[in-house]
Amino acid sequence: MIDVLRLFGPLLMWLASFSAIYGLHAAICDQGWDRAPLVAVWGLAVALQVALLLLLSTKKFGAHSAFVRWTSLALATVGLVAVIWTLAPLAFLTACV
Amino acid sequence: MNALRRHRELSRIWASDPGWRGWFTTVNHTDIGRMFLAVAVIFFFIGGILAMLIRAQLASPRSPFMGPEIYNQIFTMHGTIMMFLFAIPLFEGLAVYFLPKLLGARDLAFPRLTAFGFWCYVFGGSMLLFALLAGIAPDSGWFMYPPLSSTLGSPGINSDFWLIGITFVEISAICAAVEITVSILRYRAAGMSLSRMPIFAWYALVTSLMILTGFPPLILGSLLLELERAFGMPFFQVEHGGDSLLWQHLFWLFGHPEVYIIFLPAAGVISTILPVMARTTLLGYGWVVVGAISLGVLSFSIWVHHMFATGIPHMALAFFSAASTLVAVPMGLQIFAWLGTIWKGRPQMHLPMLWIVGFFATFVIGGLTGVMVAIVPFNWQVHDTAFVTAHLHYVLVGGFVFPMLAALYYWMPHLTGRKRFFKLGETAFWLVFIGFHGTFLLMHWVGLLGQRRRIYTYDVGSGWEVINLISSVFSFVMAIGFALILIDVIIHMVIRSRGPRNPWAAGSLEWAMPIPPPPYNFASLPEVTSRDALAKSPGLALSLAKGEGYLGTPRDGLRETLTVDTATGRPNGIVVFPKNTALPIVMAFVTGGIFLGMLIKAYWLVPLAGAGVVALSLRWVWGLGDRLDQGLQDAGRGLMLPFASETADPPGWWGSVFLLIANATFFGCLIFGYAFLWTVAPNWPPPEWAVADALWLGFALSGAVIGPLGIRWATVGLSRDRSALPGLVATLIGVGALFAGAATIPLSLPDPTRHAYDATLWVIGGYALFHAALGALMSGFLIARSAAGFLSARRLGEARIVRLWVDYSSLVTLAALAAAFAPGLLS
Repeated sequence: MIDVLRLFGPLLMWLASFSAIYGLHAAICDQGWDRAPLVAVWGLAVALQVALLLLLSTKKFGAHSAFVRWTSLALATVGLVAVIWTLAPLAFLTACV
Repeated sequence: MNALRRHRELSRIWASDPGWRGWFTTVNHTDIGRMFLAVAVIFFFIGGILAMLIRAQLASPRSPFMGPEIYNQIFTMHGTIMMFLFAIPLFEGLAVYFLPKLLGARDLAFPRLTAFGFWCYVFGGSMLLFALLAGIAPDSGWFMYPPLSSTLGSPGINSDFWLIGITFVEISAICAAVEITVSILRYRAAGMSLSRMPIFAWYALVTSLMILTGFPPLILGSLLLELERAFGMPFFQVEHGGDSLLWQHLFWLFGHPEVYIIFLPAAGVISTILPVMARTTLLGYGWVVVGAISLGVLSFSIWVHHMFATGIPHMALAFFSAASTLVAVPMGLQIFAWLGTIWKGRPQMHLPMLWIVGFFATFVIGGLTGVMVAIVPFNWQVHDTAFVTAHLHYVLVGGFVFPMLAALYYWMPHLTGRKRFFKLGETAFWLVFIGFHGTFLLMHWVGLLGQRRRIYTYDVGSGWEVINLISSVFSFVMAIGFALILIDVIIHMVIRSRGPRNPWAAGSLEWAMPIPPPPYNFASLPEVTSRDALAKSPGLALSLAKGEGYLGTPRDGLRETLTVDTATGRPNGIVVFPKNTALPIVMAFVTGGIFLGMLIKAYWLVPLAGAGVVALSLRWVWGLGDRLDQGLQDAGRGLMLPFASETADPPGWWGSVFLLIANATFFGCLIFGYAFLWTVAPNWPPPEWAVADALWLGFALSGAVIGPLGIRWATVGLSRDRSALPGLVATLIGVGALFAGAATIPLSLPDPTRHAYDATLWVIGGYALFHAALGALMSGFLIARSAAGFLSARRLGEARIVRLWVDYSSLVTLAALAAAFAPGLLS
């Protein structure tokens, strides 16, 4: 079961970040707040994905099976790319128009 | 015991009941899989006939063939049947039939659940068919947007058939997803580690997890819309704080993953068949697994690309546009892995390969138009036009139907034990392929010229006439092709032309058995040391028939198979399956009473049928387990293993974990809906906030502590050979207090029709109440089981299962109370 979590965890973490930022975006537009929290949460999300990638590459937290180890690292890399790419509009677009 | 005697003995143990009774009492996955496949194909042809009626209507301008009332029902039912009654059940049928054979097991994890799911599908689908024949079918489009589908736009019973019938069918999908997930993780051949799993199992695992998390939003949406229609609870009515966009969010939270739920099994089929056709192994197995998992998860972040024209802020649109384009990367990865497989092998153009080539040509076009509609400005341009209809048919027919036809011709010898007689299939391929492109390639064009979706007629001089006529002519060519396939299959089944055991010289385990397969699959269970076990050991089938694998000696007439450790594939238990029983069909029939009662507004039937379901559920689970510890058993080859009921995590525990994941998704979507209405819907805040009563809140909080502690006390007591009774009584008291606390939510808001806030909190409160009641029922059941001697230090599994549910009930009740009363306290 832990190996299954190693495989699905990185992208699920990205999905959680993506959903949280989408929800926060709605709250910011509803309340008329500044967009700074969005950028901060994005930074946190990127940091978490990097941390997970590094954790999965360690002996302590990484999988014992070579296949699961390689696959989980590849998926953690996909998660990192996804969190940067899908939330990049934060840096370029106005928030509530 | 020689091979023949073993075969006779196992056949006697595993066979379904003789005669017509066997149809209704079988729980064997081979039987149920065939029944799923057959019913799904029947629905495909019904949906296809509806498609022909649509094309006949659109063949000419101002066509008098159909009026708008009938036409609306026809196109709604075409989409509904193809998506819900054909595509998903076909995957279920394929997985139910093949997975145990591919994984080296004798059945799926929960055979009675397989049968229950099948009968729910049949009864739910029959409701919709009845509506179609009676002329009262749903008519608001397959995605049922309110207010068109609410009482305002659809005052009759039409929409109710969709909301209730489809929810009934979705029970089937959830059942199948739970058992497929548990089967893949636990019911495999000895030695089949994750890295040795057949690639189809990876795709089926991802698909099942997607069903578990993708279907709950739609079940929730259907429930809310039906509550609005039946009782006036205003979830989607703007003047009362509701918002019709909430439906679109919930529907597409399901609807977009649904596209991948349909595509991924087809991709699994291609990854399985293509290497065999190319006489090689799959290129980049690990990369393909990464691609499948990425695709599955990424697909949950693109639902809003169906809503680009709804006025959502540009930044949010850009999030979803970026995610939509990103999905093309894992998709492309798989396409290149398949092309590489062809490149490194020696492809042979058998009929399955022909369909795979057809898939490549068609699906790549559908994928590219998918990237086009992921781009916001282009999406706005073609929104709600025939271009989108063409795109989705390229994806779904090219990406699902064509690979499934490859699967049909690849595995038909397995189902029948025969070989094809005439070569009608090749002619049929060309008719379908040419007919399909002639129909839908042109539809892109007419869409770009401005033809909207779902129109029942158009004017002379619109510029669409010739295109529509040609499109309709080609659609009939395609229909003739499908009819030829049906004839080909019937001839194949009728002509007794015996085929070889492994006609394609494949290396996967489903060919390591006699064909058509015996009801027990493998006379003894294999141990595998590579991904293509049969290719590595060509004599495996004979060796297994001689009983040289595990569980080769039938024991006391029991239906046995192995469970393994998820990661390593090391055997860790022996499962004893239930025998043939009519319980699943009776249970599905009684469950249908709940849905029927809601449909025809005979609300007295709902609690009656609900009580029937509870009684049957208790009967269902009472027959499991044992009153005595059995200890280690001989599994063959010198291996001693316990029965699964004497392990800490029996199959029911795993099933509960995945069912709770689906359940939690449902609750999460409910909270999302609440937050959405709060932040986006007009006419908020509500007239007044719910006010908490400290006494009842205290009840709930104490229950949330006592319940989980009580069940732990019971488990610890059992493990030390002491009585579980005090702990179980404490659990019962705890969940009773939870129930009382949860009841304050609806009691504090007496009128759920007043505002969407009141209505939503009624649903949240009802959800918490339901789970507290479920926890009480389970605790009471466990007390009875303990008294009857079913629990012991070795047989803790049932208590651990109840612990999962009591913990979950406590958590959701606390969350529900916070959602209900925190706003009032803070304001």
